[in-house]
Amino acid sequence: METLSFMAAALSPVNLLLAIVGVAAGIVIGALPGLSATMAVAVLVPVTFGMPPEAALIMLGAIYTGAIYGGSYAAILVNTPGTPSAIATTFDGYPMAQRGDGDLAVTLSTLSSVIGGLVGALALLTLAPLLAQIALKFGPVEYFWLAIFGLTLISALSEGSTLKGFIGAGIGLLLSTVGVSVVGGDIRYSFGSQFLLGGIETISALIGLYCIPVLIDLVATPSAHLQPPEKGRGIRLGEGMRLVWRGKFNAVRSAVIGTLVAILPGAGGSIASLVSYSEARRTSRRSERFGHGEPDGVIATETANNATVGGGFIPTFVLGIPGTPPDAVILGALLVQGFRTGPEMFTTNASVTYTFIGGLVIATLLMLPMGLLIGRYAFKSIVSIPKALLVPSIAFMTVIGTYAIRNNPFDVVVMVVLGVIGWVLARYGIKPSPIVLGLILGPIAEQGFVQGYLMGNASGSVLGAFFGRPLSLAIIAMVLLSVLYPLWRAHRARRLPREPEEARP
Amino acid sequence: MKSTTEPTQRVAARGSDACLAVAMLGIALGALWFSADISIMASVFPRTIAVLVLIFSAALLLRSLLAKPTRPRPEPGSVARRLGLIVVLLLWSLTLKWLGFVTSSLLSAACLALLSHYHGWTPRRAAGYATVLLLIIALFYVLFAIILNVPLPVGLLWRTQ
Repeated sequence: METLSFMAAALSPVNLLLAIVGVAAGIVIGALPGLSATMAVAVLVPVTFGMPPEAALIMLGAIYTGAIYGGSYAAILVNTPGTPSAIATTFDGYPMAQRGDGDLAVTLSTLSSVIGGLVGALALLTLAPLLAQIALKFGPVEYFWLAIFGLTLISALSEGSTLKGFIGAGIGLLLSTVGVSVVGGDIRYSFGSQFLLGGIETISALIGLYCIPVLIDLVATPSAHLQPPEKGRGIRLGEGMRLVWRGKFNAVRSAVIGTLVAILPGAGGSIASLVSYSEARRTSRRSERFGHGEPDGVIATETANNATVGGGFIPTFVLGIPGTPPDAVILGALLVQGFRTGPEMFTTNASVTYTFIGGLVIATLLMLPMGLLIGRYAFKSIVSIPKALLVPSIAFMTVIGTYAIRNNPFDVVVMVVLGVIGWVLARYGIKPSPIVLGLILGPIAEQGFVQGYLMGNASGSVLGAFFGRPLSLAIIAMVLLSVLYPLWRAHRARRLPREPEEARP
Repeated sequence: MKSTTEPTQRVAARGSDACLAVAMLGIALGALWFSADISIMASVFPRTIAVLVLIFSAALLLRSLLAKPTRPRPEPGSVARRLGLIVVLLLWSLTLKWLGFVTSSLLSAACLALLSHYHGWTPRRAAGYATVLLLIIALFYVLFAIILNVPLPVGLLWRTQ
């Protein structure tokens, strides 16, 4: 009863207003390529310093949840994930928009994000201390294998050959090693350039690899880049709800995956959405349609990445270990407010924690009307903008977004060069997703790999360090499954006579 | 709702796969070569990855020689406009520091609008597009430079004069 009264405190007019402002700001910032959820939270943290702790946390949670959802807009409408956790949304969201179903894709993304956000918040409310213990079982070697699992998933999922997916992931991992090394502090592959000492900025690379190829192909033809929607269809809420109901198991499974992956510090929304996308495709009766505009793909990724919001707060609150990068910023804000993380967050400071969880639920629910409203105009606007305005506008956003990350003009040069390389590689069959994920997971993989290598050397068996722990073996089994299952499925499809398309449900 | 997008046409990829594999072999060998001077702790990871890229690239080369690989047909379109866009983006990124954010953005946005427009220009259309682009640039300038306090480059060229 007391918990409910604390949660109800989030319904005060001031808290509601802050949640609305936070969600709106988050959606706008998340939708702009280059401005990630972490940046959205970081930029607006100082605004909350003068607020009461509950209000500050509610606003930050609303910004975070809005930004993760907002990332899907750019992914669906311009094939550029607004945030790294929306990478897998491009797989089916953009093909849907290309054929004129962008409005439906945005509605699906909104409904799925709300479901994912609610499941994550529910897990935070009920299972936090229990789930946080799982995170403690993960050592450096497990993190290494987890990163490898993410990379094998994206390589296997990428359109085209798995072999090229692996090469792309390898290129991404090599790019992540440019600059000062994670372990040892050596300078690697900078070729004497002081600009490369800081390494290749992940968000710049993400913008370049996704956005520049789209621009290069946009100017090449006079045809519209997205099919215009049929007139008088509205937001297609009924159709979206029917599709979500049809994929209800997919949505719940993806939300659970998102929550569980988010409690592992550092894993983040990109792995969560990829794992859930892979599971959705593996179990779907329409698996061959994934990657060509299958609504279940959008449902899986968007449910999972918004579930990471609540899930990521579990280790942040219980262990003081941020589950995702924006959680680290919010953890800092908590410390500024004078809070110590740990079990007391759910005992001594229960009033603040439960009011915050209540605020997170409200912010997630607010996403539904706000997202549908913004989404309706976003798709129509993008479709109706002439190319002569669309191309310079997108190019302008990529340049200013990249520059703003580190206030460094060289990052813009790197972004453009990587974009051109990405366009060439895409024509040869290497898609941007494995490269970007290699770049994102490179530091996690390297740290785990080198620490595991050192532990193995110290204990006399490097192989034992990497292959000797049950949790590592379980992840290795998932890695093998993610690589071998698509191959087995393709082999089986070749051997079996083709079912007629009409016979499929 | 239409079911899916149309499946893309495929073309032979033996030559392009072989070229890609050779390029990737070169990159992997380069990564190994340039890691020679790095300490063992800092080089063990990139070396391992380079070896894996080497193996995958060799497998791709072998497959391109033995099998008959295919790939989706590349998007057709104007090569000149594509190259023009790349040149404009590169010049934009390289001149940010010298011309400043506003000047380089205005010039580049104008060039990109010209490159991506396929119909005739009328004074009204040109004025309309110019106004919208100016508004977009002004909006983002206010958002980044004033609200978010991002120090956008003012241009070394203008400072020295």
